[in-house]
Amino acid sequence: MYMKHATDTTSEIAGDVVDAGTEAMSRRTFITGSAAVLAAVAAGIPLRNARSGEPRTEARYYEKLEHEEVRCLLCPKECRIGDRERGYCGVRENDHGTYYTLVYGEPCALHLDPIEKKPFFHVIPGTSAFSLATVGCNMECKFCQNWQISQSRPEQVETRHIEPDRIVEQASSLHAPSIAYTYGEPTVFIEYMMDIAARARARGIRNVVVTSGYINRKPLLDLCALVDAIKVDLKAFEESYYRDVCSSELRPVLDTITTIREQGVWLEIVYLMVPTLNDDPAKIREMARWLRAHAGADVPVHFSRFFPQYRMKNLPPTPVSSLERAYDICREEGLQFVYVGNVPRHEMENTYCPSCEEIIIHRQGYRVLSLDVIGGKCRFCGAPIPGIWQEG
Amino acid sequence: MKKRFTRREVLVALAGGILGGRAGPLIAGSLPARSNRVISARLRLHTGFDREIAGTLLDRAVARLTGCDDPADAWRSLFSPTDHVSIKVNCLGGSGMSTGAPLVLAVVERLERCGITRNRIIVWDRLGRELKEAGYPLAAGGSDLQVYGTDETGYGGEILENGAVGSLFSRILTERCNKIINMPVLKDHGICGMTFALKNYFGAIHNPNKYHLNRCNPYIGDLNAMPVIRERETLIVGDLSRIQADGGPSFKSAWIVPYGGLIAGRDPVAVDAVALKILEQSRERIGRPGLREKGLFPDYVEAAARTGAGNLEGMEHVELVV
Repeated sequence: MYMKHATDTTSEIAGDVVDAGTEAMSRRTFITGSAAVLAAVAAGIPLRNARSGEPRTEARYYEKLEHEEVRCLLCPKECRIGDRERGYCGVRENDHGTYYTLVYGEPCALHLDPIEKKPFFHVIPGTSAFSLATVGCNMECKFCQNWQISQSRPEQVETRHIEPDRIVEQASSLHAPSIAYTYGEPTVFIEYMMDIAARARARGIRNVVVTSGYINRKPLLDLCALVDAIKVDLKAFEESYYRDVCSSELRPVLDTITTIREQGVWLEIVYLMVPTLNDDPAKIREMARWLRAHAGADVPVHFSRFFPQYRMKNLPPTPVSSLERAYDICREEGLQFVYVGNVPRHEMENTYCPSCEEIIIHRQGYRVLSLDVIGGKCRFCGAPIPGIWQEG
Repeated sequence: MKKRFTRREVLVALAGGILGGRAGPLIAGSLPARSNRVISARLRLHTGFDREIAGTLLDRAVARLTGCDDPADAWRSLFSPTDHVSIKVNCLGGSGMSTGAPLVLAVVERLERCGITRNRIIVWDRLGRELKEAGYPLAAGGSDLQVYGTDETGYGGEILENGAVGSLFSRILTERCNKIINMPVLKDHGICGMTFALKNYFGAIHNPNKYHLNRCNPYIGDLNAMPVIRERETLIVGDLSRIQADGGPSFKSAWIVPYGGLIAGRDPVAVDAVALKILEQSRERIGRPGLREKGLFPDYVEAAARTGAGNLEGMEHVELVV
């Protein structure tokens, strides 16, 4: 078999052990689910060129250099790429001085997911998001749960060519009120994402993005103009962690968070807590203070439980007590919407009104058991609740 | 064996002199130490590089490498009739600058003389498309020489790790051979300075794009130190018929330097140290700045010695000019 654990793409959160009741899609139902248009990862089959023979699409963010070299301007890595070489993400290739995306129109995963799985907790709760991904990522997190697609190259994973119009049609036919760009790292398929997003918006379908936030300002601004909500995986609040565990940098991600907020796009933060590596209470407090100052007290923050994955199998799952401690720290620092994720039936996965402290969204895994936000306000006290809510 | 060419043998460098005497210490690994003698062989007059000439250079180099008088004995000291041998070529440079068929076919001939049937010899790279573009007709199955890419077999299902590297490996490497002949071409590289024997294994893993940071250091060393490679790599025969002295790794005709030679060795670090010296000489010949001046000196070569991928201490470079 080429790829083991081929169905991990259903899980947005490391480990994915959430008891999500009847709406939950287990890892093993990914391939057979009714909305699983394409089960992507090439398990046990010969590899093939994933580009379906379709014309390649020129990348949008790069500059040409001497001697047929290019510099990619999509993410802060800004790879300098020789002829016939690819960038760090593995999905953008220089061909004689013209830079191409190899994943435009080439999703490797399509699925209908509860939006809570992303997780978005303040974006039309209880609805489904038509979710898609291509291969490739501009980071390499040692705990990546979807490494089979994020760390692969286009020719190594089975795909099917689907134009943006067709994606929107499928989402519409499934009555999905949103399209989620998720599973891997949408930044690396930004051209495809933006073309879908523009068409979806015209059809009244919302666009939500799940990203690590490692992207340059210009493409981020272009993206913000087209999407409704962005969830940023804030991996840690230390540069050394980003460098050693994720082959990346913290500073640009913080800039992304600030920019998203400035642009008025709905923002949620997920923090995967890895035992001994990014669970220092002092750092959590520092992060909470930064978030309050730069993203606002009302930004939802999800502390997610780590399970051993990929190249980080030497650590145990996060103790629930560590997540609860982080929750307490953030609440002490004034953050209003803090959640514990990947812990089935934990009371901290509910949304509490910051004014009257009643449960206004009662969750169990990915299921919404009750929703008491009416017209963007708490049903019990009328306090405004930030987020994107269903009209009426 | 009757000598067809006059020759001049020069003992060029000893004890890490290739890298300015800054050779790293030998790291004792779990694998037995391997000779770090390197033979570079070239034609006195560069009048073409066909299969016969390549074979002659090859026999002289491998005999000298193994210390055998008879080339046939030299090859038999490395390969036996029951071996399954994969030949890792480098075809990224297309028809202009890939491992040349004359040298590859000369190697295949000598493996056959060791009693290895043609269908137990695989010439491979990442993609069949790249092999075809470089002039290798694809052939998978049957009784003839096997030529195909990893896209034919896929990668193994388990991530193998060492240091900074964690990758899936081509099944050609892990499942279809017990010995590898590494056959790179010598090229300038716009990210790490040089690509030759050590870097050629980037074509054996599923995620080479992740390992170009910091001029590929320490990734190249960590990759080459892995037992999956070290246990199989039996011989390195680098094609130096031409050198891409600048503008690499893709083919750029303006900076091709004819060289008319090859490099043979068993230690990839020592081999790359010699290749680096030749690359620098080639750059100087066409008026290009040295790699250090260009800011692309391949530090990964010396660093690889510290990972156990090879050994520069006491290395020997013998230059044959025939």
